[in-house]
Amino acid sequence: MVNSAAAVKSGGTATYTITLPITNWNVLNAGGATYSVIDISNLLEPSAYLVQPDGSVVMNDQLLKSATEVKSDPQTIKYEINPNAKWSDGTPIDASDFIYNWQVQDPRQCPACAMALAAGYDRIKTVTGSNGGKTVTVVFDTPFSEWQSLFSTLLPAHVAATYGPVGTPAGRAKSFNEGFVKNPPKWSGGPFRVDQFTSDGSVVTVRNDNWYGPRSNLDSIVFRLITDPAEQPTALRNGEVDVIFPTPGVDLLKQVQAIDGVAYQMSPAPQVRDLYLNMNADALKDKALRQAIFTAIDLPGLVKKTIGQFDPTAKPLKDHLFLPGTPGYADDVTALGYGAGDAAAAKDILKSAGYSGIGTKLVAPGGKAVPELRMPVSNANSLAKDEAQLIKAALAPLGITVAVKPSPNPLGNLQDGTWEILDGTLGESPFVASMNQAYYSSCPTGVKFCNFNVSNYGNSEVDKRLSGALSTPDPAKAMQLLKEANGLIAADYVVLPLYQQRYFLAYKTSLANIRNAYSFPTYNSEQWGFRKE
Amino acid sequence: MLIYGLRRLVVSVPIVFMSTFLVFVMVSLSGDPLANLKSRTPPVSPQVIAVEGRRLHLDHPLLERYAMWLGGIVRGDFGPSVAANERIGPEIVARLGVTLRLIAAAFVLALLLAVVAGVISALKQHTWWDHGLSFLAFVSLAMPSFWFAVLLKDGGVQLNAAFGRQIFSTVGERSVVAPDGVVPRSLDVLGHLVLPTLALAIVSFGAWSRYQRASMLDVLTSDYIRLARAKGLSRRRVIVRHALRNALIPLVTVTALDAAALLSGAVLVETVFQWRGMGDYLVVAIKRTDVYAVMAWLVIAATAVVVFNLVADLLYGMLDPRIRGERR
Repeated sequence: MVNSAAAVKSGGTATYTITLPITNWNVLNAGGATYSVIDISNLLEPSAYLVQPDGSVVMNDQLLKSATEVKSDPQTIKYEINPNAKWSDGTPIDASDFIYNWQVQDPRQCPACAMALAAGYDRIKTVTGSNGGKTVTVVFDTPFSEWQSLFSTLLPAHVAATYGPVGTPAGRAKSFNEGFVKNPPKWSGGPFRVDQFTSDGSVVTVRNDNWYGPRSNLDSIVFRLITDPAEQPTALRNGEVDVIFPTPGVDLLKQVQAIDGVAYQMSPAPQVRDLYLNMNADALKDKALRQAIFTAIDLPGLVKKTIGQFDPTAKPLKDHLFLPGTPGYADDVTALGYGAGDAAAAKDILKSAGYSGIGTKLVAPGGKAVPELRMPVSNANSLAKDEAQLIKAALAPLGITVAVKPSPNPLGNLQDGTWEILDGTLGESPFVASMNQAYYSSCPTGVKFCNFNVSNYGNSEVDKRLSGALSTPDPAKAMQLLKEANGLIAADYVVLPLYQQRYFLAYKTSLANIRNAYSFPTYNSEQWGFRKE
Repeated sequence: MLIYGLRRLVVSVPIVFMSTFLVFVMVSLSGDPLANLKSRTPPVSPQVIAVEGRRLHLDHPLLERYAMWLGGIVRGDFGPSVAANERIGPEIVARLGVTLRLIAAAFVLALLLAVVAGVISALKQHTWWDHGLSFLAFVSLAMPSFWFAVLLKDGGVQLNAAFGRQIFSTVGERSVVAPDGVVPRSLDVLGHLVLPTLALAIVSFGAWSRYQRASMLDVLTSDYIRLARAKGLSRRRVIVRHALRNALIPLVTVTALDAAALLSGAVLVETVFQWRGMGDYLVVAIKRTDVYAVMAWLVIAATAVVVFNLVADLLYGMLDPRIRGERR
C-alpha cells in the first residue's frame, strides 16, 4: 500500500525508529554516515538536490532558486540561494556554507578531514560567493558530470567557526572531525531542530519555526532507538513507536501483517546483491570456467527461494551498473547466459574449453584439478546461507565443489583473500558513475583488493569509459559510456548480479505521507502528519 | 574477620588480572574494529581508515596494546572507543545505574518469591501446594530468560489492548518524552520496569526457591526444632523465629553469589526490552568489535563477581562462626 499525499491536520508527535546508536553527529564524516544519522540529518541539513522515491534527482527549491551549469570549459556551476534561506538561529545560508562544505570534503583543502566521500569535491578549483553571498559559483579544474551529487547536506560554516579556525586546514579538521562529530546539533536549516538527545540514545526534534519552507505538519518527531530490529514490530503494535524501518524478513513481515491499524511498503532498495568471483584465484582467471558457473546457477529459482519469500515481486537483476526503473537500466546479461540454470549448457562450455572430469571432479585444460571454491557466509545472515547452499547445489553437477564457510565476518575473508566465491551487497545511487567507479575500476598493479572492487576486476576499457562518464559534461555521452562499460563488464563474467535488496517501511495508518526515498523515509518529514478524521 | 576479608581480596586481584588479559586477547583477535568503516559504500578512503586505526592503537602489537590499556586503567582511562564520540568511562557509569536498578528490583522480587515459595513447599511437603510450586520452580529453571521475556512482552501488549491503555511498556526504561507530574512520571517508570523485572527475576526464582525449600526441610527436621515444639512454643513462633531464621542463612550466601550472575541475565533482558544498560552496552560493543568497551564491561563484571563472592564468603563466615573458626 503506497501512502500517497494525503490531507493531514496540524500538530502531534510521531515516533520513528532508528536502529543504530548515534555516536557521531556529522553525517559527512566517515564514522557518522549511518542510517540513523542520515535519517535525522534530513530534518536539519539542507541539500542542494534531493533524491525522490523514484530515484530521480531534483533541485531543492526550498533552498535554491536555481542551479545552472553556466560554462562547460572550465565547467562552472552557478547556484542562486533562496534569499529567505537561513539557519534556525537566523544566520543566512550563503556562499560561506558552500565554501566550508567543499573545503572539508576535498582532501587537498583538508587532508586530515575524515570525510565519508570526496567524489567530485576533489575536482573543484574554486567556490566563490557574490550578491551578498546568495550566489555561489563553483568552478571545476576537472569536469564532473554528476555535480548534482555535491552539497548534498550542508553544515553551517558559522557554527564550524565556533569549533575551530576554518581558515586553516587544521582548524577545518578540528571542526569537521570533532566539533560536528561530538556536539548534537543545536542548529538547523530544515523543517525540524533537535530539542533533546536523551540518555537512552533517542532524539527528540521539534518544529523549526525559522524554517524558510512550508510549515511542518507535525509538532515533533521523536527518533526512538531500538537496536534489535526483531523488537520493533512489538513496539509498533504496543503504540510505543509509529514508524519502523527494519531490514525485511519473512517473520518480520508476518508480524507486521498481523497488527491492526498498520500499513507497510516493501520497496526496492538502492542496494544490489551480487555474486563475486575472486580474480586473484588462479582457477577463476579462466573466463570459460566463470561463464560456466554463471550459466549453471538458476537465478530465478534462487530469487524465489530467498528474497522472494517475503517479496514475490522480486526479480533477478539484469544490469551491473543501473538499478531497475532508472533510465539506463537494460538487460545486458540474459543473452550471455547469466543465471540461466542450464547445467547442460554450462557443461558444454567447459567441454569446449578443454575441461575434463565434468560432473565428477573438474580438471582444467592444463591437467590441474579445479580446487574447492571457498565461499564465506555470514553467520548472522540466513538469506546468505540459503543462497550459498543453492549455489553449491547448482555447481555440483559440473564437478565443482563449493565449500560454504560460515564466517563471523566475511569482510575479513574478503580482505585477507581467503575466498573464491562471495555474495555481498553494495550500495548504488542515482549517481551511477561516481558509485561504480569504486566497484569496477582496476586496482593498482600488485594490489589484490581496492576500494570496493571485490573481485579485483580490471579492464582498461571499462576504466576509460567509467572515467570518461564522470568527466564528460554531456549527459547523453555519459550514458553511452556507462552502457558500454556495462556491456564490457557483463562480457567478462566476473560479477553475477542477483537481485535488488528490499526496504520495509511500516507505519500507523493514522499517519499520512510516509514513504521511502532511496533509503531515507524522512526526506519529506515536513509533509508527515496525522490524517484528518 | 578483617584479615580474612583482605586475604580473600588479595587472592581475587590476580583472577581479575588474568581474566582481563584473556578477554583482551580473545576480543582483539575476534574481529576488526575498522570493519564497519571498511565496509561502507561508497568506500571510505585508506587515509581515513589509517587515521582511525591509529586512534584505536591498532598500529601497535597486541601485547603493547594490552599494556597501554592496563596503564590507562590505572589512570582511570578505559581507552578509545570505536565510537569516536563516546567516552567509555562516563558511558559505563551511566549504563551501570540503569542496570543496577533492574537488577536490584529483580533481586528483591526473586528473593521474596523464592522465600515464600520455598517455605510453603517445605511446610506443605508432598501436598498439591508443594507439587505446584515445585513445578513452577522447575519451569523457571528450564525456561530461557529471553524466551520468557518475549512471552511477557506479548502478554503485556495483549493486556494493554484489553484495557485500552498502555499500562506496560516494552521498550526502554522510560518514555523518551516523560509525562508531566511526579505521579504520571513514576507510573511511566513503573510501567517500563514491571515486565523486565519479572523476566529477570524468574531466572533466579527457581533455583533459590528450591534451595530455600531444602534448607527449610533440613531445619524443620532438626533436634532443636523438635525441642522447641516439645516445649510448647506456638507453631508460628517455631517456624518464623527458629526455623526460618536459620534456614535463610544458606540462601543469603547463595543469593550473594548469584547476584553477579544476574548481570548475565540482564544482557538478554535488556536486549529484549531495549534498556540502555550494561547488557546493551556489551552487545553493541561486541557487534562493533569495540575492544576497549568490551574490556570496560569485563572489568566491571569481573569486579562484581569478585565482590559478590567476597560478600558471600564474609556473610558465610559472619553468619556461621564455625566456618570463620575453621578458616582461621
